[in-house]
Amino acid sequence: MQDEKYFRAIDTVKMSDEQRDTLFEKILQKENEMSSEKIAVHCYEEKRFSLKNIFYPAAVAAAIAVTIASASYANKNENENSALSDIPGTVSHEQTSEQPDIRIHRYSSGPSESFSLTGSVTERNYFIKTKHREESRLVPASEDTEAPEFRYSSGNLLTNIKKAVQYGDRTAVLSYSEFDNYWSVHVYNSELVIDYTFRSSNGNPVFTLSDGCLYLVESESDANAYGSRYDLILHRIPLDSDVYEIPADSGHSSPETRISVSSEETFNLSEYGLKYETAEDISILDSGDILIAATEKHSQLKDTQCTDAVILDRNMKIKNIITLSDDKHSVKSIKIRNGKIYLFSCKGFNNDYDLSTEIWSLDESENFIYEGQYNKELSQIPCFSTGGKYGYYTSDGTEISAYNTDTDETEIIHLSSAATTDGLFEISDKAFTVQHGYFTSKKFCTDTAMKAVKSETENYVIQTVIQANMYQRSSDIIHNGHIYSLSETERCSYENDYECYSVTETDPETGISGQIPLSVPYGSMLKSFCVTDEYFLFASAVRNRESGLMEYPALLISDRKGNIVNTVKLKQGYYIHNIFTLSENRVIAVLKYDNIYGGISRYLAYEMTSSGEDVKQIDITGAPFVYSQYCKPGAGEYAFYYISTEGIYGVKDIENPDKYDTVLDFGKIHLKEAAGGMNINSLGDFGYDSENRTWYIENCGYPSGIIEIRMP
Amino acid sequence: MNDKDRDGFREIYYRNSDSVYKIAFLHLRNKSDAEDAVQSVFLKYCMLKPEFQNSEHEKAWFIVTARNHCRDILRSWWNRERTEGFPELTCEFLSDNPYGDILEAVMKLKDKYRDLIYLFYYEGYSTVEIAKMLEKNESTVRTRMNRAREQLKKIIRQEENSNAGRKIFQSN
Repeated sequence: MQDEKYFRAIDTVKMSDEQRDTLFEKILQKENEMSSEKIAVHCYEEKRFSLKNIFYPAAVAAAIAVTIASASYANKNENENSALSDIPGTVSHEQTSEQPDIRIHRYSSGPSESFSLTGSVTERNYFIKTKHREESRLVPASEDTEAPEFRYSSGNLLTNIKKAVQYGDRTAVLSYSEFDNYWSVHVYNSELVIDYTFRSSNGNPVFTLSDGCLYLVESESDANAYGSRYDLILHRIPLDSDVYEIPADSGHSSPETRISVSSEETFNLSEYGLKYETAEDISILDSGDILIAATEKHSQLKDTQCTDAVILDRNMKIKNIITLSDDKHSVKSIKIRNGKIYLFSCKGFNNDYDLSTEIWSLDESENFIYEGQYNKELSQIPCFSTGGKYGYYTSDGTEISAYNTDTDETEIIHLSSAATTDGLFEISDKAFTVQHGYFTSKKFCTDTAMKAVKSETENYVIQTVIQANMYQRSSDIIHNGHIYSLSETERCSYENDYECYSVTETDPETGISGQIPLSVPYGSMLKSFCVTDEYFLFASAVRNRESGLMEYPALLISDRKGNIVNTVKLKQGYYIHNIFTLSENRVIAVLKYDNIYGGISRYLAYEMTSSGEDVKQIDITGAPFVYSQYCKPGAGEYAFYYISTEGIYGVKDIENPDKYDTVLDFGKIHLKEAAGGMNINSLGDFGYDSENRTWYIENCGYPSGIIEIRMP
Repeated sequence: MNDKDRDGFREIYYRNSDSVYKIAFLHLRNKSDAEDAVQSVFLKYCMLKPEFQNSEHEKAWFIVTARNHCRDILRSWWNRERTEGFPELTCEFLSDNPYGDILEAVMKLKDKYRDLIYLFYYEGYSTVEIAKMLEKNESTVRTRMNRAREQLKKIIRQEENSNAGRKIFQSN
């Protein structure tokens, strides 16, 4: 009857009729808006980015903040369509003739793990960076160049970007249409060079750029009554725009219209008696040899899949085949560095990620020499890399391993075995992207968390913190160089009347950390917090002892020893969405009201002193369609941006403490109007380039893109 | 959208919104995000206007699109960086739910296992159909199904042990 239980359990997840009807009306309304959009766009198959590096220094921030707050367009159409128009506390601004210059860079797909934009955003270029690679690359966004939309002749968009690589001035993007299973490789510099569309019927294709060529391995399968046939086909396509012509009518090719190019070379591994079915990775050696990690998935002789590294010379003749020393392992990824080949392999079926690494090198005669293996059960395919290091997590969560390919040394960070109980952790790779790196992990609705902090010195030496049987309840806060995290020691609920929360403070320089237990009022459910020199401020929900229902949100303020010194009741029916420090004596709590019937979620910003005295309340609801909202203390601690799908709300200048109390301005940049009707539905990261006085805001819904707003 | 299109869209919406919502909730673990996902998936449908060969094709499209959309959201920068949402709301939903423990266990599974449990036990697809839908080998799907079942049982057992321990602790 277990099967029946699964069905019934999932069946309990459902919308009410009213909820469904309301949602339908909202979708119709949104669809109406979308169908009327008319904008000139530049389209790029590109996705993830973050703009961490372009936040400006605090002092500049403050100046910019004033500029923005007082800019005329901040209140453009304020009195016409704004959700804020009738809300007390909204500051109106004088109209001036200067208008921002706004551009929309739209790409046709949603977020992908392949990309992150971490570099600066220059005049018309985006530095993007693939997740597993170190090098940045430039994606041109020239206004003069109309980059084509990545569509097939059928009109379907390529909706998933799988990988991008850079070779010289060329960028190649592998993408995939989930609708009709077409794959495509687009290669471009300032304009599209190759639009190569194909259908890889069996597994994901792999590709790389090297020697002025695109190397692509696709796999085809053909099953009939006599069994299955698999073809693993290597293509080498010159990256020469004279060779590949794009059809003039559409700018897009398709399997039907693709121009056959004589200089394209292909090599079908199956025709040479090799039974490989899929390719896992491809790399080109300095010698021009081609390395393909190819998998034979259904070997009759083994109970597991079998992957080899097949080496072809530059003439596409088979030169050598490396079979891993452990025949239960399959190569999943190839990295080449300093003449050595790292074959990251995984044991067992279906990517269960029991990983090891075999290291091979080439001798003077170009023979492949097995140098050794690091074998530890690992939880993931290489999930981070930086400065020549590739890292893994052990499946039991007790070690974080990093290979330093420069020194060929393995650096292992030992974690407490008590920290984990199984392999269900989601471990972030933030360690290598933030100033004070850290790994965190947490489990959903349970009581275990693990955390490790990395020093800034790239040593991969774990400096602290293991919290056994803790559940981390909020993102880490960095205040005056120390890292703070909020955890609960048990699964807290209104039934459990005992101390269960604590704050852990860590000095990343010394690695010393300590826990500050909190004594919170009965029924408190802490979610997030912020830190000042004097206080901890916790966003909490307080529940009724009898019913267990939430009574009101509250701001709990404790001294630095964890003693609650004040409890500020906030508006009933709301939840504290976020809380953060504006300055040493000012905090902002953003409250959210979820309309359970599918209506508009409302948001309020409460500004308070750090001891809990009310300063100001402002309704910052971004009606009518609020898909995602968040706030972050943009530049250092001196500005507050609140971005909704409607616009950028609220910028505050507190550079000058004397002016502080009088310069709280919640103006608004109307994104929707600014974007000329673009469907702004789900915002991602955002940033501000002070040199160019330009905002960059990611719209990661559909269609996704970057909204670029140049300040007048 | 004219009246005729609207009627057609309404039919499609009411046919598929429940599945999309369920998938979204199981992935995103809260009601608000799940609703947003439903909106996005149907807006995507409006934008793409795919032509379906039959009702099964239609259903499969919505399931796969919802699944991919949720994965995108979970991978997104915003999702990774944002302050913890409202897990207690979900916990509340689970604790009030007679099947909360099982549902929680399902939600704890890795994506690849959770999707299979949903498709197999709720939607009633065979492993052959699931393999086709997810573009996996049939043997892969069968192997994963077995692992998903094993993991589910393991999680449920752990939960039961944990709850038993908690009761003892509280009674003391």
